Amino acid sequence: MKEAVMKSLANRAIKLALAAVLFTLASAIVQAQEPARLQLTMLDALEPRADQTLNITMDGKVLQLALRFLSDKKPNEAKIKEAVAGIRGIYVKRFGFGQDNLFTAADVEPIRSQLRSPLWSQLVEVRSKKEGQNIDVFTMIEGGKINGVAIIAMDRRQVTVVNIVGPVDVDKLTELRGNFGIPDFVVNGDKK
Amino acid sequence: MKDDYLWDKSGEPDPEIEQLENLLGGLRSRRTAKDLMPAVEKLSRKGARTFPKWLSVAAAVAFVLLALGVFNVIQRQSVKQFSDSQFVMLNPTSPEPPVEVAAPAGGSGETSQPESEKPLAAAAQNEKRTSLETRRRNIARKREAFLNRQEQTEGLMAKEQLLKALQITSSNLDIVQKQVQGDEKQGPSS
Repeated sequence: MKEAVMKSLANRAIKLALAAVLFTLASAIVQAQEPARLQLTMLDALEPRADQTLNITMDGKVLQLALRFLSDKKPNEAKIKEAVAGIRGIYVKRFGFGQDNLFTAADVEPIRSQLRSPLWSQLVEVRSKKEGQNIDVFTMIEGGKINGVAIIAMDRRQVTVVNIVGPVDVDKLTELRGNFGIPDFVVNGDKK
Repeated sequence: MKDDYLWDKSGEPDPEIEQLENLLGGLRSRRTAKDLMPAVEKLSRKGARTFPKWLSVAAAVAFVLLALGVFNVIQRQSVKQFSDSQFVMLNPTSPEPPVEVAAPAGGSGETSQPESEKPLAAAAQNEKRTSLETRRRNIARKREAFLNRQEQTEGLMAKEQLLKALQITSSNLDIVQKQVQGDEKQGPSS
């Protein structure tokens, strides 16, 4: 009798484990289709501590829709269209905090661990002790072309992670600075 | 061990278990353990029933596909219902009046009209048809306009999101670029 119960329990455990394996496999398949796509949901643990949260998820369809509303006649919008052409997804998570030291580097570790994959390589590392600003830019190069970009930017009161999936021209993206006319992300009245 | 006594009466007797045995012993089954064995074996066989692993995997895959399908159908229906309800709100017109059918000429004479009134009736009928067609066209145009508005709203929201995302990206890249350029300038002097 005792053995029967044990066997039944073991059976259930095996089934649960199988389901978990299947789920992991499904996530892996999704990721295999878009290897440059990072799992940013792990950053959600920062949300309760943050004063401001910005979450942008744009897959291919939404991007195409947005591009239809950018005019070729306006120079700024034409530049944006050119820079974004071919990109298959843009994902941004940004957390603004009301005080210093409400987060640590460990909070961003799940993202960094994904970037340690051999597919990714670090392009630039900026460390500014004075402003407490750290910016890391990673690229995924496939066939001699950049096929994904990841940016981790942290200062004393802000954490930003950007993930761009698809062929990216980093220079063109950098040139876009100042072409938007949208107010910057504000934390406690301080403009970044 | 006390647990052993509870399980098969071996080991050190547990006074509490003994007390319970004395209390409940009168109610015990007269059948011996041997009599119960077939039922126990049947139960244990049932409990220990195992499925092939491939069957579990196939069932899990089927369940995931089914869930995705159901989710897709529900999502499509909700979008359709939403657009239909908006459409109804935009067009609160009364139901279409029934189209009157003209009586055949030379019929039984129940609804016969004088010859002079026939062209008038035909003209009125034509007019009704035209107005119905116009109304249908208007409804179709309004529906299209609504869908366009909806698409436009979604498109503008997507554009705003894209601009925000690009702004954040380019500002960070700009900082990096300036820092790198600054380092390059400082490099030879240091």
